[in-house]
Amino acid sequence: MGAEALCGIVYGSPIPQFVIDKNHMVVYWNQALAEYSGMKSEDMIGTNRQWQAFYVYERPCMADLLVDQRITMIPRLYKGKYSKSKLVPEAYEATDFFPAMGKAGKWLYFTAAAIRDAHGDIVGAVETLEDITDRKAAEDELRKRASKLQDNKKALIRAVQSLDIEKIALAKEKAKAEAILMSIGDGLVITAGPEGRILLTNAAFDRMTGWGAREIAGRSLFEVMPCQDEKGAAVPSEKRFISRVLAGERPETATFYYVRKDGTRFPGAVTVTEIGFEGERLGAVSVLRDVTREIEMDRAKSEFISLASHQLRDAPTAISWCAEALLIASQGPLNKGQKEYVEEIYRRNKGSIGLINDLLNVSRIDLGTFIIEPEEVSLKDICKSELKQFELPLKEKQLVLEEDYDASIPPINADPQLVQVVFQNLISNAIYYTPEGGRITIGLLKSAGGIVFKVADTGYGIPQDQQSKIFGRMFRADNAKVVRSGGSGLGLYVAKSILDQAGWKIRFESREGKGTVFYVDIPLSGMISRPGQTKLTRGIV
Amino acid sequence: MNGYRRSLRNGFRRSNEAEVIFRGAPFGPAKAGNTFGKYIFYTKNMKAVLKKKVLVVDDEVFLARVLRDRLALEGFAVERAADGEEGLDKAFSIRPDIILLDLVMPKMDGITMLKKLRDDPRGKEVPVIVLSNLNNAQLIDQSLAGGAQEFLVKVNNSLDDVVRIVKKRLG
Repeated sequence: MGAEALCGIVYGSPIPQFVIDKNHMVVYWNQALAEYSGMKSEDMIGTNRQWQAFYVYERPCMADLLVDQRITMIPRLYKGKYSKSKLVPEAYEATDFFPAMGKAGKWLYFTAAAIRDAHGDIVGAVETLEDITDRKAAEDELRKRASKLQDNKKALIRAVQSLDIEKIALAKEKAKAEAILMSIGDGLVITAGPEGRILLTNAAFDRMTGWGAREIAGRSLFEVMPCQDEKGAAVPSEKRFISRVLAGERPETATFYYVRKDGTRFPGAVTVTEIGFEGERLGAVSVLRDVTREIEMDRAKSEFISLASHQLRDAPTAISWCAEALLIASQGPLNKGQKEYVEEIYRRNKGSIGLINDLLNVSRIDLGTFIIEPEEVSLKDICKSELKQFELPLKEKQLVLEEDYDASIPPINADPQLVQVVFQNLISNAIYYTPEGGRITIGLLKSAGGIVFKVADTGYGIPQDQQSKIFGRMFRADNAKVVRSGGSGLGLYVAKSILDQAGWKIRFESREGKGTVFYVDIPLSGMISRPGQTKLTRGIV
Repeated sequence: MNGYRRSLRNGFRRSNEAEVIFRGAPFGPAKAGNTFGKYIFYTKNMKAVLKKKVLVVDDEVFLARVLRDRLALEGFAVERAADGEEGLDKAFSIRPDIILLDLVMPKMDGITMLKKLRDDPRGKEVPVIVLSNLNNAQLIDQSLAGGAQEFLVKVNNSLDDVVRIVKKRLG
């Protein structure tokens, strides 16, 4: 077919096309291409400026290359963008971006083929093109979106993987925590809600109570494990620690008796803390320790001390009574020398008895087993009665006694025996450690926190460097030892221990050579009440 | 003042008509519990006092003797039992006016004896003073709940104190 024949077909086609002859002259430039490129057909035909439609500078189009059969140039000019057409023989197609075209460049898909005449000689080439800018844009968009999707997918996969890792880590943590909880030597029970619904118990709890974990899960702890006091009276649900903790209290560790599955009971020291979430109290963690052994040991210690003290007291009793009997001449009169010797026996023995009583008290104090039984007492009355006992030494040493009692001080709830011991210790110290002619001031005054009991003296004082040890067990300051050889060093220790355990405070100010003031701070609420094995004995000063 | 004085030199003997004077010297720092204040014991009518019978139940030989001697000085008639069993026997046979009861004794201890004493109509009324060197809240409660009138810790009470309380409980 001749070039002219082709023209007719080419001219009317809606697809932009142009034909060049073998001299690179535009033979035909169809209407579509003219509209597309903006270059009129009549301007293009007969020229070799076909490149102008596409490029800013002169360079061959695909058709040009094919006309010259410069096949090798195709890869060079259209590297990566071309391929040999599968449909049309000797045709090449390519896709390229033309930045000079349109407003911001265009993507074109073009196909070029050589035209041969009947003899097979190349007479020209035809090139068609298609604007695929939009398609490309769409493709790009799709590619972008696909890529983004791919990224998202990767991110999701990573997230899932890390979640899996987290899950495994959490599972490990949970297993570890459970293992720890299970192996804790103390019994542990976790409950939810005010009815104490059992969520979790550990092995120690199961052993302690005889219940298997599965048996009691979900049931109320209050039903499963009744709580009693020492005497066997039931502790009502609202008084049990779980209820108190859920009500917002923070009760101190205490010992109750709990009933096992088989009905036997055991003493347990219990500590309960709340489980909260976002401000709400949801449940409680209870830690329970079987203290049967501790209680037994305390009882054994107390009994041993009681027994030992009993035996220790036999001899001094006999000595005391015998000396007394001798001194009243019931076995015949004593001469002066005999009387003096027997008096000394009596006096020394009394000292022994005092020391035994003091040591007994110290051991009861250390064990924390002495009873505190508060009743309404007048501190002034106790003070005055103690002072009465010191009438003679006060007179002998010619000490001036000043008393200052605030009349508005009310009666206080306190164990009178314990108050006696404390007052007695402080007053006797003031008297012993003040030289002749000194002054003792006793006061019961109101203070910010309640009441202050004050004992002031003009005595030897406590040396500065020994003040921190003055409440120590069996501690005597150096100057005290010089002044009086018989002290045990227990008086202040006993006084402070009693006050510590009763909930009161003691403090002092002292200057060596000038004097000392001791203060006992007494709250208006008085002493706490506490059961125990026995009351403290009155020591002999 | 009835009767006649006995010289201190001759010691003391129980006598229906003896008037007893004895005196102790001031001794040591004077305070409550000090047995040797400036007391002069003076019993006017020994006849009345001598009639009262005291049963001392204590396994300690010498301590029982000291108690007995002193109480006798005061004009009491004193019997002694060495353990709870003997104490129970004598309580029912002699019918003392007051019993001084130790707690730690062989054969039968004081608390058991007290219970058996009170369970018997013959022993329901007699005042009992527990004299012990144990100082245990539980025991004190047990004794008082078991029917004793007083619980005295021996080592903290002088013979004077014991005598005073015996006289008080005898009314």
